[in-house]
Amino acid sequence: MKQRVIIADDDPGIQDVFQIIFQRAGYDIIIYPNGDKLMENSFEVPDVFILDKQLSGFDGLEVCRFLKSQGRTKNIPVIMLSANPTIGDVAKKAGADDYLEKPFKINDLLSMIQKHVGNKPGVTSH
Amino acid sequence: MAEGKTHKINNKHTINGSNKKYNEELLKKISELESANEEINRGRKAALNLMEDAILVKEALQKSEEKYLSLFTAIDQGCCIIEVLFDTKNVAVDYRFLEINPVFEKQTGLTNAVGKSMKQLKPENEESWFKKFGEVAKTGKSQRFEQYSTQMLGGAWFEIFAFRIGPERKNLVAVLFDNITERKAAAEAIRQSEEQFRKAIEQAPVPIVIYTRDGTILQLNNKFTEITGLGRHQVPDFSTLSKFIYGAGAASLKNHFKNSFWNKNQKLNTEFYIITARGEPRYWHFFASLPGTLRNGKQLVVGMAIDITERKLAEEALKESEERLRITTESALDYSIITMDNKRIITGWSRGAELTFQYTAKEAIGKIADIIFTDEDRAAGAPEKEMEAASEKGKAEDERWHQRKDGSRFFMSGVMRPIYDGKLTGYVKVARDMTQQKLLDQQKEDFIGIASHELKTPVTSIKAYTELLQDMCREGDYVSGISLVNKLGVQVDRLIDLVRDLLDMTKIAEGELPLHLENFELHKLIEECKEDMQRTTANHKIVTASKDKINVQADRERINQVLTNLISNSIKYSPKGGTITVGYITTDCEIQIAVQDEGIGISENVKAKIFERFFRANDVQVSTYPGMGLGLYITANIIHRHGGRIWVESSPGEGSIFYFTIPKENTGDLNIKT
Repeated sequence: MKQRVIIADDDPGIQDVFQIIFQRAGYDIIIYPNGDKLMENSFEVPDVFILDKQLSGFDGLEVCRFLKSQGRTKNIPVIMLSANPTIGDVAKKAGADDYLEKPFKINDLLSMIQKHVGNKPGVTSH
Repeated sequence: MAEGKTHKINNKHTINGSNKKYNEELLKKISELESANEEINRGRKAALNLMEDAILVKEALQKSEEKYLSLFTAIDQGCCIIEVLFDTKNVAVDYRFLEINPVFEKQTGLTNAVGKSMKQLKPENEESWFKKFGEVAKTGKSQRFEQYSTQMLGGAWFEIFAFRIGPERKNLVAVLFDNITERKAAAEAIRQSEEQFRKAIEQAPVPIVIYTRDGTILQLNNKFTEITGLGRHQVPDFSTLSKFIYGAGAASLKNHFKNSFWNKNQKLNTEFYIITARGEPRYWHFFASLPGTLRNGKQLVVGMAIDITERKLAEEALKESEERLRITTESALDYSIITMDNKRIITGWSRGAELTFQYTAKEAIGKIADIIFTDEDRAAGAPEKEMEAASEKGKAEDERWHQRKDGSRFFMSGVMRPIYDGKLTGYVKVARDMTQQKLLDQQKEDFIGIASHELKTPVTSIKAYTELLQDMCREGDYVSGISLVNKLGVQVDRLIDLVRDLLDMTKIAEGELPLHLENFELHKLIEECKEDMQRTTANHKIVTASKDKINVQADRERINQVLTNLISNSIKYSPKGGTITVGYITTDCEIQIAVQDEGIGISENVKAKIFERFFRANDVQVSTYPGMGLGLYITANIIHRHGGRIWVESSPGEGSIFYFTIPKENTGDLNIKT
């Protein structure tokens, strides 16, 4: 079974490229343009969240904090993406498991996902 | 002589006829006698008349002689009748006194002159006397002259009036004369004193001009000429002099030829500039005296000037620097410049202070400067401490919260310095409102963050696409590759636009955005832009409302940038989709283009700031929209550089219409005929 990724990013260009990247990598992906659905808990729990820090409406950090506060998602890894090089501390404080600075290498992203998803117990099996 | 009585003859005594004839002859003789008698009587009467007339004439003559004599005697002018004596060559050589009047002796000092000649009385008498009187005797033309005689009274001046009397051959001349020695002396004394006066004026250490009521200049002294380089021959009258004079006082100088000065004895006291012959302006304080009157009745003014050019220049320099200071303090709206006396009572309150603290100058001046401190600072004695620090160290700096009139607070950084005018007279505080500065700093920081995010986003995609393409090429999957390359291209274009906007912004900040004008068909550009933008959205329908073909002269690329910006904003701010309409009309002097959307609209306070740099729509109800906040700023700048105008009509919820104009370059008909 394919691993499931939920991505939140407001840029259509990035949304497009993520589609291609993750399809080729063999993931099922759902891309949200903002954090609304995530804050409403109206989604199926994935294997990993990829959140852009800069989102319209709810800020990426807010969404992260929320997800980490919700029982069903608190153990799901959250990877924060940002154009801001100082993302690290802020992301960790909000509860993110890891962070990646934009622009990134595709392989770096994919291996980071592997690292976190592979490590977590109780993960949906392949 | 017989009385001529007639005898009646008795006709009865006729003898005979011979007695008749004798009687007839007798009668004839008697009538002849009678007529002769009558004639004698007539003659006698006539002779009597003549005698009576002769007596009358003699009486008249006597009377006039008396009159003449009395005149001759009574006048206080000397009068004499002389006979001019000529030599054989007909040259006047002497004259003899025939008659003299009583005053003659007194006037001339000549005694017993009658019957004697001048040469007899005064052998040394000047020849000129004989010559003059000789001329009168010969020509009959009367002469009036003044002449000095060395011989009379030991030397005296005479005023002479000589005229011929009687027939020419008699050489008789009547001479009326006055001893004018005293008068001459008096005149000389006056002349000398006038001369001294004139000399004194000439050598006076201040410029003096002496002139009469009709404007004639009588004298310009040395100092006047020295300073101005103008002499009397260059400035013969006041109207010529006025040409060299200008300034505030010049008018009162010109007006002073009106009556009030001359009749009411007003003084003239004025200041003006006078241009010297070298073209240098001098500044004079000018006084004109009360008019005096000359001998000939003319009214005379002595005008005196004090050259105060140096003082005036210093005054002007001071005024100028004060004015510059005032302008500087007034235009430094970011800065509050507050002056106070040494008890901290406000004496000066600049425009910047008015704007910052909300007190008007009128309200603030006279109050204690402590009003700008917060209540706590005042309680803690901060104002006094600041003042002490300023006077002791010459400068006190602070950064603290201040209080406005309405009690609101804000952060300010200031410097307070003492003012000395010999001794300590007060203080000046110059404070900078940090709030604006902080806001701007914040804005800039935000902008940098946003800009880098905006730039990195397409770069992220570009990088990912290139990596994917590499993989696909390796795999040989070129079909997918082509689609990826297209998407890559879109992102690269996006990046190009962003970089260009950033560059444009710096160009605008430095002053000039370069424009390359060309003639192009606007309708075609709009069509192209419409198609390009349509490709970016599926939710919106972009239509053009106008079909006219029009040419414009503008920078085609920049106008494309404007249209792209407006249409992309319309797309961005119409999240629910809808129609975006582009239309244009032509007026006499410009082409007006409008871009209309059915989007979220713009509120009033946002409308005011919408074209500002870094401004991004940030309404609380609506999510933050991406973008660096440069688009409209650059668009507005491009339109303004073309000489056009840009504005928006919009209300929240009712969509927006952005209008901009491009002026027509020439007045000719730009519409192209198909």
